Amino acid sequence: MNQHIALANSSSTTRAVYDEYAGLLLGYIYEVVKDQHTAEQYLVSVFNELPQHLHSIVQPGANVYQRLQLIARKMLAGFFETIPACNPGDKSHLPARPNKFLHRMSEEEQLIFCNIHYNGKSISTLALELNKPEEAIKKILQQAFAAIRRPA
Amino acid sequence: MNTKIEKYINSGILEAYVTGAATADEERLVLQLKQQHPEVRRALYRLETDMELLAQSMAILPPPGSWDKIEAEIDALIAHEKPVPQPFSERQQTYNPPPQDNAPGYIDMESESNHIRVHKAWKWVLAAVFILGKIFLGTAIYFYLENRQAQQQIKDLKTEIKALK
Repeated sequence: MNQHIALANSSSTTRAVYDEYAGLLLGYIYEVVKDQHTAEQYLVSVFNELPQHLHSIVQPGANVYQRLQLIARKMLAGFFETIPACNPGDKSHLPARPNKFLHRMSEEEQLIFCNIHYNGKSISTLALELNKPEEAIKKILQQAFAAIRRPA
Repeated sequence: MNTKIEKYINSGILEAYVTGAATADEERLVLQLKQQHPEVRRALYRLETDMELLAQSMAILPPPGSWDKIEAEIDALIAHEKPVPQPFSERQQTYNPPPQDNAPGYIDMESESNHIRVHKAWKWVLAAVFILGKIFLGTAIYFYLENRQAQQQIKDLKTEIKALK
């Protein structure tokens, strides 16, 4: 009975999270899969999983969007393996829609950010692929974040 | 600010954590340091805000049917959710001595119930009595009406005889 109530409550909480963050998450997933229908399917899958993660997502101090994105990233793990790595000099790795924040980044920052954020690569994998130390990759990623904050 | 923490924040590990690119060990350390150091907490908050800002700029309105699919799935989960059986545990049978007279904590009281308990076999007996009662009632009404009609006929015949005389 208590599980029943918890599930019923989780339904309303999931709805609240959906109303607030579904659009943001769909935008991210779309840039990964580059297909509207597939992106929607992944979005539905993420929110179907959500009741299992609600406790950690809505706890004080947690960033809901960041947690949602991590769930989506785990779900997209299989898809990440099917897409080609972001290629320096080839702008096709960039998000399909123009984005002012990404355009503030240098090519190198875009490459690292794209491989990590949109291609789901880990720091260690990327370091191996680019033949760079992990510290260097992290540093470039940090600069990419600084670029997001940089005034236009 | 603690130099070690400052170095840690500037290493780029927090950015890796926020994007989900850090290892499990690195994630654990980030969460641990987040609890211990407000500087780490603030830096993480800023990075999470950056990610949200980026996401907002690329947001897509979900199609109207998306929530219905999610809701249907959650509703199905609620509908199929069954109570989890409790693991079997043998009740401990302990001897409780009968309460002694004047034992504190017990109050003598009379209980009276408005219900009686009867054997199930009586159900058929009561049903038969009920049906027979109905039959007798019907028969009584029938004979009463017959009798009244006969009385009326006798009365009519008497009137006719008188008229013939």
